[in-house]
Amino acid sequence: MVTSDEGPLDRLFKRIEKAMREIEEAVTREVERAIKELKHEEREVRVFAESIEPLYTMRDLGDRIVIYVDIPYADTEKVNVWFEDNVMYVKAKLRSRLDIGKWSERYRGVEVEEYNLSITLPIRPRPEKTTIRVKRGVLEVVIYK
Amino acid sequence: MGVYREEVIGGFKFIEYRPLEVEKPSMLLFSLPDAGLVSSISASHLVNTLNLEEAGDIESPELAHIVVVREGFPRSPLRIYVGKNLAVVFTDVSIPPAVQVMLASSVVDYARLRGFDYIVSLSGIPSPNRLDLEELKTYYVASNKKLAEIAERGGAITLKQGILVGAYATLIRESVRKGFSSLLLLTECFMEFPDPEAAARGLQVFSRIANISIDTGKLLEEAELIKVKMRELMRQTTGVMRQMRKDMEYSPFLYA
Repeated sequence: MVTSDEGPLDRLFKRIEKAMREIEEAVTREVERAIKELKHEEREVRVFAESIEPLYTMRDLGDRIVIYVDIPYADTEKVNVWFEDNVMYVKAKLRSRLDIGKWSERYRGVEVEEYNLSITLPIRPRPEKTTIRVKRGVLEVVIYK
Repeated sequence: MGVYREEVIGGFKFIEYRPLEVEKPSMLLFSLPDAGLVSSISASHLVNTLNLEEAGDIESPELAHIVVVREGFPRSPLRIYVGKNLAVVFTDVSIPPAVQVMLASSVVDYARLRGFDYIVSLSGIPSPNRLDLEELKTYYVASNKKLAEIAERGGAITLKQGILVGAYATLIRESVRKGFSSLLLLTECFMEFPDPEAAARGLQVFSRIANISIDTGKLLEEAELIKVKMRELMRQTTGVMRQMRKDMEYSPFLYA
């Protein structure tokens, strides 16, 4: 807020401070984005291991966030979903170990046994406002706002 | 494999290892990874169940750094399989958007020059409500009325309105422009997850249209393992679809 006590120099310094804050925020955002990309690249290299990250998609439908997680060949009795703050974790055991070496020599000796996923949510979910179901090998989590 | 004929069309080198002997009416099935990998799963199933033979490939400087190895021998990531009245253009890798568009246009020219009667593509139409759809519908977009009638006899429904984004949009637009017969069969599917069930449904419609017997039982039996196997191609394809703004297909069409 501009007061009558402020001189031109005060206003100039305030503008500089504001610009500096905006630059700092932009740099922080860029660094976070770069770190995220690096982490993503790191993940892309490891396509198959004992634990694999399932494909997922998140949609904001206004009154709720809907997350679909593709967990084919998972044992539907052994799908665990839990939340810590605004992070959602999914762990799902496969019906049996999958020997990926049969599909590609590159993965000789690699057997997949479970899916593991953690997603940072845009909101903190409340248990009474969250529904979870598995259908057609797809886990659906609906979090009402 | 020896080269019988090679021809450069629109920057792509179409190589044939032997004369393409395809019965009439001849079809060229064009397949690139897209929504739900419906196209890739369908084409792969056709090549395997109909025992189609590898008869050629397509080279591009944009894909020169990729080689697919089969039984110890290098192969192009874009290959042509042939059998009976069908040729299939198939790839195992995700293709950059700009290359997809150029390739689709070149494939129309190739089909025309080689005397194919028509091009068919079996792809997916992403449905936001896919998880709860019990019976999947297959829609069609045809470059002419004759093909539209054939598609309807096969059980496909007219896509009355909508937006198409990607190689298949180019394919159908170029076909209309060049006066070539092309048909898109689009089955309701997941956008970002491999969808063998949608591929099976699309193949059943294609089977009636092409008058070819196609057993989709094995495809449905192995659906879950196919999904695990194709997870990485789906992840890459999702990245490509994001680049080409595939999500525009969800937008309601504004009739102007």
